[in-house]
Amino acid sequence: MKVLVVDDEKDMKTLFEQRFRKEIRDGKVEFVFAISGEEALSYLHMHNHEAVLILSDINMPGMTGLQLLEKIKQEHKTPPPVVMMITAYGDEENYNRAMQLGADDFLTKPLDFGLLKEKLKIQG
Amino acid sequence: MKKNLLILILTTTAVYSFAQKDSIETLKHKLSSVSIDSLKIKWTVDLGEQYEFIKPDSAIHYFRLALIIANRNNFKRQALICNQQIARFMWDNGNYMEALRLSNQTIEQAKELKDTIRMFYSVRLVLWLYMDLGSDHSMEYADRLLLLTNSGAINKSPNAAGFNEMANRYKADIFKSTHQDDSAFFYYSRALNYAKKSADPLYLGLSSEAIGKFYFEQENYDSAFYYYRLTVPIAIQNLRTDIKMHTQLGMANIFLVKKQLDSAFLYASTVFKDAGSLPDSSIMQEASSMLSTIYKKQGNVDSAYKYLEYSVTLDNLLVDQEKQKNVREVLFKQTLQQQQEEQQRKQAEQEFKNNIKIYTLTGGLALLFLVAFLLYRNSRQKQKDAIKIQEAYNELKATQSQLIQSEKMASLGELTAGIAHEIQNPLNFVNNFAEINTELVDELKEELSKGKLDEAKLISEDLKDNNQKIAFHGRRADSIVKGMLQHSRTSTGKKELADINALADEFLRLSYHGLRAKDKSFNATMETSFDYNIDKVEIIPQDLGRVLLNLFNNAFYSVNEKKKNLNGLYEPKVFVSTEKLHGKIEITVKDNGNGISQKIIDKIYHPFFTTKPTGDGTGLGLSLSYDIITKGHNGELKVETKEGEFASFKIILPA
Repeated sequence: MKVLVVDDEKDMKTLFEQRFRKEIRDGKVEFVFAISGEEALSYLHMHNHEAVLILSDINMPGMTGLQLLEKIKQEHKTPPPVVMMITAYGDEENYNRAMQLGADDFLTKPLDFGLLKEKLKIQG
Repeated sequence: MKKNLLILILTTTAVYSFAQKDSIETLKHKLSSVSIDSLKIKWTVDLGEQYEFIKPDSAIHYFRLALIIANRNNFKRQALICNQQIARFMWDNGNYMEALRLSNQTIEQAKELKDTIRMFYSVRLVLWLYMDLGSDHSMEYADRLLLLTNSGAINKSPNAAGFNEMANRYKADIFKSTHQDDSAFFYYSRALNYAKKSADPLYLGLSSEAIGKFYFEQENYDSAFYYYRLTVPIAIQNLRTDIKMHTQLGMANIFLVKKQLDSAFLYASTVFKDAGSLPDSSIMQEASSMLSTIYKKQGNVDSAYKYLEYSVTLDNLLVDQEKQKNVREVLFKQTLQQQQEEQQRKQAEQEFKNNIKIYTLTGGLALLFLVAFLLYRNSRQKQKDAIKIQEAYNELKATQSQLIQSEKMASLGELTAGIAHEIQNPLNFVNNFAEINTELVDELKEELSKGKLDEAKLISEDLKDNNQKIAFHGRRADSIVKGMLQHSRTSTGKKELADINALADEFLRLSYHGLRAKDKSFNATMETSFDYNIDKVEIIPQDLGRVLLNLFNNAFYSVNEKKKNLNGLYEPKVFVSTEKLHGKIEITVKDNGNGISQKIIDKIYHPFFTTKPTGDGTGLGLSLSYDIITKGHNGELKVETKEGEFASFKIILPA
């Protein structure tokens, strides 16, 4: 499956590529990276329906992750991609707001990749 | 005949949305905890739809509830959807007057909202009404539906194939009812083609059922059976028990005709058993009647009689309902006629009124021109006033912003929480890369024991890179903590008399040389304009120095970045001035760099907000500076900027 990761930290790309190197090598998953909400939206517009899962940070300059979540859930409905928030902000307010806007899951940093892999398996 | 038509139409209704539907339990659970009205409306309508074919009373209750919420919020589109559901319910219950009135209302509403898809559903309901009455108007509305399917909105919608299937099928149904079989067959084939193109299998089910019935009426039993068989699993999957049962009855009929009594019995008894769950008793009646016939042919007289009794009782019940419906139909037709005549009369009146209007308008226009000229002369004065008001308003907004910001910065506790979050990012990398490296070491050992030196070398390269990242992010965490500690020390400084001009000059050179030490290619012109009439001021020198240092660093950074992108004739310039104005001291730091975009200008004083790449800046500089100036010195920090051209920060201190 194709996963779009949105985070302003460039090292996230290396991190994901190393953490999932077996799965990437076996062709089970493919990652695409965007360093801003705007970039993520351009990608989605150009490659409609390709990314079935989106992992997004919340705290980014420009468009925040929550603004991105809102736009994705409004504009890409059929079928809607699964969107999980990955963020250092684990407080209740952010959690509730994310759930209200339709986030499918909410993970906090530091990322537990074991947990993330479990959740991705469920998404199939 | 009418009864069959009614059944026909009931079986060809399609649900409004072809997305997967939640069950009743799920919806009720979701509704119990939702607070957002738009979601409440959607789910209440969904709930109503779930009940539509099994418990109509509950359905109408939910639709009406949803309509109330929609009207309360003035959600026009949602209100339209609710009205459509209610209209359909009215029609289901033979309340034609209401159904037609509401449908026409929704057509107007859909026109207003320019919603072609909603328009489709409204026109469709009117079509069903007319088909039910056997009216000549049905073909007109079926053609309207076909026309709508050519519209952009419907063509580009994901359900385009579904809409086309429906429009063609309805046209075919009308042709079938008037025994124009060739035309009927043509449109059924088109509908089937669209059904196959649709992503929703329900349409295939609806088309197959319609075609099955068509063939059955033509006595082409093998083809009919083929299509009925296609329909049943789709009906089951889409929870359309009504369609399933009608089709199964059809199949039972075919077996009966072919004298395969056992198979006929199997289907008829299945239907009879399940038919109690439907509000429409005609299916049960038909199933009983069929069972009775089968039992009679098998020579089982007692059972035959029992089912015949059922059948007759149900039939009487239905006949009564039918009679009531007939009466309502007649009344309805009469009212329609009256309404048409009234409309014609009104049109004639309207034309007469229009003529009068035109004459009055022309006279009015001339008057208007005169008034407009007079007004223009007045407006120019008003414009000047408006500009003054706008300026005052802008200042008010800026002050508001700063007030909000200073409140946000109120407690250290808040900042501590922010620190914790900020550290999570570098920590994320430190922890994860460290774990990865442990795994990599294992892989390295494996490759070495296999003697694969090249592989081993590649892995050690990765190990090294990862370690560098760990070190980098570790340092980053360290600097974040240091920055935070600095912030906590701010408020304990002592005030003393100091020379502002000397301070500014000193930190300007400090900043410049500091940056040159890091980047040899860095260069910029510095300009100063000091007011030597300023006396010494009471300040905390280290703190104010830190603010100036921060402002200078930002200024030099900005012009340096601009130079990197422009080169050519761009001359990076940083300018500082001091001035005594209105009893206050003003220090201005201006640069001709990249400026600040309007999109982020509200965020620049937020702690940890930075536009610099990761690791280059902590994002604490301006927020610290803001605190030092406003809280530590009772002053103001203002910014003026134009993106791509300049940024100017002004410190205002009480003298």
